[in-house]
Amino acid sequence: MDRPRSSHPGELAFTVLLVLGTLVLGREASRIDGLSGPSSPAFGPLAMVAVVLLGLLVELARVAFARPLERPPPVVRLRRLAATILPLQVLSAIALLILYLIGLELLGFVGASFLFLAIAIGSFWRERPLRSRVPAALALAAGTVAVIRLLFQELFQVLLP
Amino acid sequence: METALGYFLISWTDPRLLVLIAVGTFAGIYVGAIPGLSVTMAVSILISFTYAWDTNEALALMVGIYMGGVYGGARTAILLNIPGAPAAIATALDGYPLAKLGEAGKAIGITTVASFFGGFVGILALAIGAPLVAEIALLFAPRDYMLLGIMGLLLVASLSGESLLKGIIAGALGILISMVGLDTMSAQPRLTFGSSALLGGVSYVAVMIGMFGIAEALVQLHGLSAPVIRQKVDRVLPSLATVLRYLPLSLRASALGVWIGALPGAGGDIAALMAYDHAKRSVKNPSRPFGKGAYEGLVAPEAANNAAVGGAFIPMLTLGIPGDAVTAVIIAALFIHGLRPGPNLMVDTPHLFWFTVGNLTLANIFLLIFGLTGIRLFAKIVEVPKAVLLPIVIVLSVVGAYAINNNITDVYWAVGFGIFGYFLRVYGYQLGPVVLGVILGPIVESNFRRTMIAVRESWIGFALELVSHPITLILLLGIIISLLRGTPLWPQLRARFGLRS
Repeated sequence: MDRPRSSHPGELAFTVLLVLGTLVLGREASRIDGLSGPSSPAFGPLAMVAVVLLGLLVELARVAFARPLERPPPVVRLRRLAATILPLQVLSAIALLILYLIGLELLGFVGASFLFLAIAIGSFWRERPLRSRVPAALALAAGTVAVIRLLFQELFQVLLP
Repeated sequence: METALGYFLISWTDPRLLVLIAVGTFAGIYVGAIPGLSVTMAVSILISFTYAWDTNEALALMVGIYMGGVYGGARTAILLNIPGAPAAIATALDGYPLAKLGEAGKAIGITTVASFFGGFVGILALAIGAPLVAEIALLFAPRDYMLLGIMGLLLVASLSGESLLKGIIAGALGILISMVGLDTMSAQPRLTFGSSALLGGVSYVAVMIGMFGIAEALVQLHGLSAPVIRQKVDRVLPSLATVLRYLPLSLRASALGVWIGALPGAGGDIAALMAYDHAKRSVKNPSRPFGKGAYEGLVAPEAANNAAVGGAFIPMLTLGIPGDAVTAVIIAALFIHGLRPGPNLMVDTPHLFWFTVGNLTLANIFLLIFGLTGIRLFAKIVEVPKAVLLPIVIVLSVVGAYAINNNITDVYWAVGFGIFGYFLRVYGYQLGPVVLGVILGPIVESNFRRTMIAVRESWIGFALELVSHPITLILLLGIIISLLRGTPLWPQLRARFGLRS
């Protein structure tokens, strides 16, 4: 028998979450009126939920089987997770993205985008020393927002959030 | 014939369209070349910006970006050993060793000419092949469209990811997303959780922008600290003798590229890898050993991936089935502009077909011009750090998601799918099948339901439908082969029937 592929850190938890999410979708699909036959509106969603669920259960078994018997301590596992799946820059980008969405409602596009760009560029651009990075990030953020506003409102004629 | 020529020349004679194709090709080269940006990302975001435009103008820009972007990835593959696009992965194998030998300029020149040849062969195949395919497609019954959709999804699932199973899960997830909202046949709400906001369904553009824009940007944040490598670039223009030397290989690789590109779901990346493999097998005396700077290792993948562009348009325009991720996005753009890709598109709007062929030809010419010039500017632009580019991509994604309906909810969807897509990607689920599932879901489901109604809901009748028509049977065999390819049975079957691995 083939040796199973190794799993990524946190893959078991992610697969379990996907299974749970699919079960929720399955419950919602089962509420669609009239499963009278294969051409009824409920058939498609239920069939797709079954395909996803079946696939995920096989994946779940694979991931559980691929896990080493002797597991490293939680701190080591957490470090691996941070290094390969959720490094600090991704985690902070996701947090910034959520704050950006809140900012869009509170400050509007110009203010929120300027702050998002300035903070994101300033924190990710590690190669530059802090003294030159901050003014560069502010200038780039201001320039980008100005260009987007001009270009997209004038040329593409789209409304900005 | 005269009418076709007239449609073909629309963009050649309209200065505005001409400029848009030139700008698109130029931008595409840079988008394709800059690691972290992708053509799919650019076209996804662009859909919403060009929503209010005239269809011809929107298509002209997108076609230019597509053509330029497939080629652009090669430059960074040669100069930095970082393929700017998946289609340039094979190019890096010999391109970077050539740059280290001080032959980056010559490598870029040959790559450009090979891409031009490939692009031209692909366009020729599209011009000749698509009307023929469209005629056959007019004979297609709903069951055939259903099978074509499933085959496209399975091909993407089996060819693009680390496991077929994960590809199938991703594709089915995409179909599920497409089912949210009011059912088109019975007007019943499905998967809406009682929310009126979900009755209209999930905007597929928001899903695309989330998956190809935001998720991709988050994935690219992993490689922020990669150092920038600079290479010396000398003379780019290749001599006529060099061009003629590699012409036979270019043509063979282009034919392969057209074929792979025309398969639903298989795009330039697979075409390039297969062409590289073909070059390795067929070229007896390469300029240098493969992997150490063989020009044949550049010519074959680059001709093939640009030929795949024309190939990918064949199933898209004639069957409404995307040839790859970018054509999936272009299909969405056509939907937005009120057009329905498929065999009737050729009948109802023949101008669109010849207009697209004309656009692709122009874009290919611009590719040659821009590819052989402006190398110094290029070197500067590709050095822009990802730390600056990626936050800008995220802001553009947000603007793009909002622009489609001027609705902030679409932005939330895009961000939600972006974060979800990021986790899918890092755990080995490809995003292409999800997006293709969203596009193909309604095609597969509606045609399945029509077939079932035609056979009075009988599964036996359905099975008989699948095996009693030649076209249907061929498609069914295609699906079975796609499924078998992802199982351990496949190598055994190949060995049994004496096929080379």
